[in-house]
Amino acid sequence: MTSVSLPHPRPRHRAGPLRPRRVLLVCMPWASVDMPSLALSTLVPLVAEHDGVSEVDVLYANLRWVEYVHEHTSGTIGERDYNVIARGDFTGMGEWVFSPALYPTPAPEDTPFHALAREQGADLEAPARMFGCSRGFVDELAREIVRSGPDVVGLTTTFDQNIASLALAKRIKELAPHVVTVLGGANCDGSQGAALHRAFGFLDHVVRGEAELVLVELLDALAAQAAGEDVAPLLKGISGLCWREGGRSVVNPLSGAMVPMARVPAPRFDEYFAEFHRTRACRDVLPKICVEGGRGCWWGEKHHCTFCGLNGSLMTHRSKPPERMLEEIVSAVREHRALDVVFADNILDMGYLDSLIPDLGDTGWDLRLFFEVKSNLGYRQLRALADGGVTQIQPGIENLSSRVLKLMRKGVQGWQNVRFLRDCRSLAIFPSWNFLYGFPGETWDDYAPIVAQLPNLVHLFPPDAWPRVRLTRFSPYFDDPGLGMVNEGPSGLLSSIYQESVDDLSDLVYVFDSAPAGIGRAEGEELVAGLTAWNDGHPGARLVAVERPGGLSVVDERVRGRRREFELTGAEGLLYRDLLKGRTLAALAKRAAAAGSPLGGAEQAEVVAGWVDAGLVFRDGEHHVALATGLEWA
Amino acid sequence: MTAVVGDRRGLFRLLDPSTRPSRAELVALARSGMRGVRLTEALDLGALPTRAAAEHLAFLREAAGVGLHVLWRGRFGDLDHRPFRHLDPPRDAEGRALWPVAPAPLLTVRRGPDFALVDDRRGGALSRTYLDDPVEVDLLSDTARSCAAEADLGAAERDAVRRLASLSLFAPVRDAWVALPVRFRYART
Repeated sequence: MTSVSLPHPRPRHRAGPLRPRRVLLVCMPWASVDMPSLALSTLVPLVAEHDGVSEVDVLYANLRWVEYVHEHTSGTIGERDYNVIARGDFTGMGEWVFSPALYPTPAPEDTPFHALAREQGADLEAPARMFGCSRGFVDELAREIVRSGPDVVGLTTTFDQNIASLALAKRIKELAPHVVTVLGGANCDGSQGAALHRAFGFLDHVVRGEAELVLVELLDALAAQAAGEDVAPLLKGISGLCWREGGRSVVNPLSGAMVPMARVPAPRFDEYFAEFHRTRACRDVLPKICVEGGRGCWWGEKHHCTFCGLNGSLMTHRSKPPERMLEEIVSAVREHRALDVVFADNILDMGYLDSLIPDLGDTGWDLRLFFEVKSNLGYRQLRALADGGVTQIQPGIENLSSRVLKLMRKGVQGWQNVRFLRDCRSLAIFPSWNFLYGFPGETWDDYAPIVAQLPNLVHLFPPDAWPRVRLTRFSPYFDDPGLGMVNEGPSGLLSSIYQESVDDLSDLVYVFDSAPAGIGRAEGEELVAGLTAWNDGHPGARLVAVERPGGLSVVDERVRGRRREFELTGAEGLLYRDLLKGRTLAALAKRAAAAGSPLGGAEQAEVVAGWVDAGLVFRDGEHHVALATGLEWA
Repeated sequence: MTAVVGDRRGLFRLLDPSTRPSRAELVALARSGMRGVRLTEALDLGALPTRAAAEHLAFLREAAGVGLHVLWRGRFGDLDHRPFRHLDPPRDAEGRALWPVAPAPLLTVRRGPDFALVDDRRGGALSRTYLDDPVEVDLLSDTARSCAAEADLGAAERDAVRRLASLSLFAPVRDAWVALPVRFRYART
């Protein structure tokens, strides 16, 4: 039997007129187990400093869950199985696993979700065994929490953390009705928070929007309540808060105010690392530090990508100064001896490229940094990232067709994405990206030239997955049906889990089903076959331009057992270099003429056409971009 | 454009074994897309002067640190090859490797502000060690000190090397010492 004892709370006595309260913040599955919850790590210093709070602690119940399942399955199910669910590849899987802890539920194979998920090809073997563990886990955890005597329990929920968080709140309320339950996080943004509060009466409060200011005000109110004051006027004034008045759910309007990054404290990770080091089931996991440079998306402010719902109701980009970020990272690395640093930002603040990034490189430490970036970065920008220690990125590539990228307002073209992948390969920066398709307005004409060229890209990092685009709340596709995505209602998979407990799931869920859009099924299969072949053929594949006296050699080792080498003369070599940036034939001719190239426009076109045929150059409409890695360009 | 089928150069740069590329040169080579280097002459490490043998083994480690392979012919002779089996093996005249080439570095070190993190998979399962002693950290992460003659080491370094050797993180090459963990930095200096 796994012990679920809580970490020892650190008393934080504050002088004040009101009875100090004990606060516990909880991170339920399916948050990543290899890094702290940024939300809770950021909130805990604020709570700790509150005059009405005597003790605050953070419970990483996601780590406890991995340990619990590992022990209850004799070590056969562990962190890897957890991660398959946590990655969110299959909508609702994590929610389903915890559904027995929230609802009376039959055997896993008798649930509607099981049938639906099997139809869609899900592997449910390990999840079904976890399903059998969840009720016992939540019960033990709730009892342990209640024994530790908190006055307030706050839970954070993003993606598949809803059901686990709700189950725990419900059980705590059953065991100790006096404990105040608070739910917050991205899943509570907008109408979702109100719907959750309306549907689940055991939630005393739901915090919508950014919690830094709201939670402090809520703690003020709770302290006043403990002192016997009428708190309704206080609660009424808290932006976005959902609270109860005479058992009725009251939803305060959101003020629209954003938390300035200067008001966001440096995160505290102590509780995560303490729990992590106790978790035997994660002993092969390398823990990371999660930091936040900024919030919002500077690209989304200008052109909101049609499918993206990640920034919820707050798109405006703001970021911490680089000096402060450096200080936070250096301090966390020193304190927790973790060298992998994940930026939670939805997009890299470009100002960090010539400030924070080189400063981190100058530490001389073997850091590995992760950022989400826009995919039109040039070689020099990528090299700055590499030199600073960035080894992994999540670029917004999404597709390689310029027309489809335009449909989704990505602000980048297909040939730029190919260039980006090429330069990542040269600089050993590993991009994690998905190839999305199924956009309204796309046709096979957009994909046919891409699919034909996919075998030429096999030396570049392939996509991790290639799903049809999903309809999500807050995205332009969701908000504007005129863009062509037909909303068929809340995800059927999620609907099968929530049962009848929620009157209108369309207010609550993040993922929706949509009518098929874009290319047809057979065409989709052809695209997927090409992407699968890319993925399969990638290990070991290389296409490299090698400098040699008087020209270039392009060494082609993309196909196992077939090595080819292309000798490019001096003028051809210069022409090939000119294609590193990606250019039209007209632009190429103009540059070549200015440089005194002996090749005329027609000859150039013929040479480039030969390179396209040989797979040395990627063609995207009028644009051509060299595919060989290993060369620098400005 | 002329297409040539076959292995004229391939993606291994020829290298005279007496030259020792710097870390920056190795990084440039890795970023140029090369898979590694191919030494132009066979080496009999047992017959080489101690310093040359130790430096060759350190070179194998440094090349692995930026993701480059070293193709080399030769033998260890009377030197013990067992501590170096996580690095690229020598091949005989027929191209047979003395041990299988690891798909990824099996013994790595990463330097932090006042510690070093060593991941060791040589035995199969992962063993993770944090080292805090500043001399040990320097010995494992400073190329200039991670291959040294015993006589060139100060007293504190000699003690530290022996402690690290007891953890199988340093190995003797006659009267010299070579650090074993690869400082793996993905084509970065």
